[in-house]
Amino acid sequence: MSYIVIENVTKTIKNNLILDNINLLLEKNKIYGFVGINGSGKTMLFRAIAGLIGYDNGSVKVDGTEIKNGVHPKKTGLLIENADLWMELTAMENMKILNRLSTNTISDEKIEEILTYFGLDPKSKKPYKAFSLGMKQKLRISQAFMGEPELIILDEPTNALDENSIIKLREYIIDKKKKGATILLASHSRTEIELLCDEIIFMDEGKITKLEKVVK
Amino acid sequence: MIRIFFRKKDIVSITFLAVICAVIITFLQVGIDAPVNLEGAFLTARDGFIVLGEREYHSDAFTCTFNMVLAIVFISKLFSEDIDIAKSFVFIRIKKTDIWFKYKFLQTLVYSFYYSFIYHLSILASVYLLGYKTDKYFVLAKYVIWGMITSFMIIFMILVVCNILGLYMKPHLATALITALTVLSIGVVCFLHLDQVQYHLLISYFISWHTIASSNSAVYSFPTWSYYAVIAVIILVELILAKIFVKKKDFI
Repeated sequence: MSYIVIENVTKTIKNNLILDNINLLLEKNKIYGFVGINGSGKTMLFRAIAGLIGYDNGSVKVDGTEIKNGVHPKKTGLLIENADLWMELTAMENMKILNRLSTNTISDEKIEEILTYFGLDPKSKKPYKAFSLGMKQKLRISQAFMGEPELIILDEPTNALDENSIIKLREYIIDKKKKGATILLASHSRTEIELLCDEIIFMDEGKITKLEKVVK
Repeated sequence: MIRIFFRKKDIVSITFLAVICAVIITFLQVGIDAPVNLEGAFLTARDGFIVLGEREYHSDAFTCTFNMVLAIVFISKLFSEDIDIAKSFVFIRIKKTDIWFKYKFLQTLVYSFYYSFIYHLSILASVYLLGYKTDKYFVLAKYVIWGMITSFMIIFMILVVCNILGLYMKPHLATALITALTVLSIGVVCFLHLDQVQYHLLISYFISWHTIASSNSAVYSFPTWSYYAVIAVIILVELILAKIFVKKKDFI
């Protein structure tokens, strides 16, 4: 049985068809790349899978659980584009709060490990508002990986990252896959997607236009 | 959750707002007349000399609800604060989105009560410092507690509407709209007949002045508790509606 089952999902916002009859079966422990221009529906599909929006028709199931607006998949790490954290808190404080909110909490040492891996200083007193764009993105990525999530949804994770950080992120994603995670990755960069993913899903105007297996 | 919803800066700001409002209003109201004792001074400071429903213009109504309006504006902004963080980072970590909103409504409730608590204690402290004394401590305590409860209920009732509207429109516009309607409805009180005033919901804010402080019970046809019961039912209905709206809302 597929890990994620999306059947006939349609979503309309103010008479605009955002998701048009989406059908997808995604297997566990694979990396799926979503490619499409801005407004093609990638982010909205991610939000539907995460239970952040409702849909007009169809159903989304993750690991057998029906996902709907307000009901989220278990053990999920999420990175959504252009989102900010608590401005006045440091990287470590932001992570600690999110960790405490999670159903699967980890130790402070583990949090420090993740932050250090992505090039952030866990002891730094610098508040989030003083971070550069790259540092903000690293913290957002770090929180998505916190708590050994089984499903990791990454929307444009390489935005604002330098080349070195992108390589480290790739390695981290591959490592998570080896540990059993399922990863959904959206990117404008086809190279990025081809390097990492097992399958590529092409989207345009809210529809899935093509599915392609990556030959490695 | 406590760290997110009950921050030091908000507690300090609300305390400061309540104390400043209480001190200013006390000096404005008590200065008009010279009450004979502490409980009289407390009621004068809190309610002014509102004689409702005599087709007169009662500026006191606006003076003593001024603090309520400020509290609504300040506390309502806390509801929408952090929503962008929540929809991107928090909702996914908690079982259901509405857990966040349960805490948000709890935050509104706690801060509404905290504001009323500090405001009434500050009025009491202000009139005490002005030199008023009493030996009727029980009566005084009753006025203070009733005052806290009634103003809390009214503030909370209005804030819940602001919160619900804030889910569907820009939160500051929702607050501006509801605040304007509140002020307008208080203004309407001044033009009502004596027998109509009792049906005006916001009058509950002043209810203890008429029903407890004086023998002017003829103004009200129903027992005091029934007015609070109506407000309580309205709050309950609002909270049920809030739950429905939160469930239907897309957090894009």
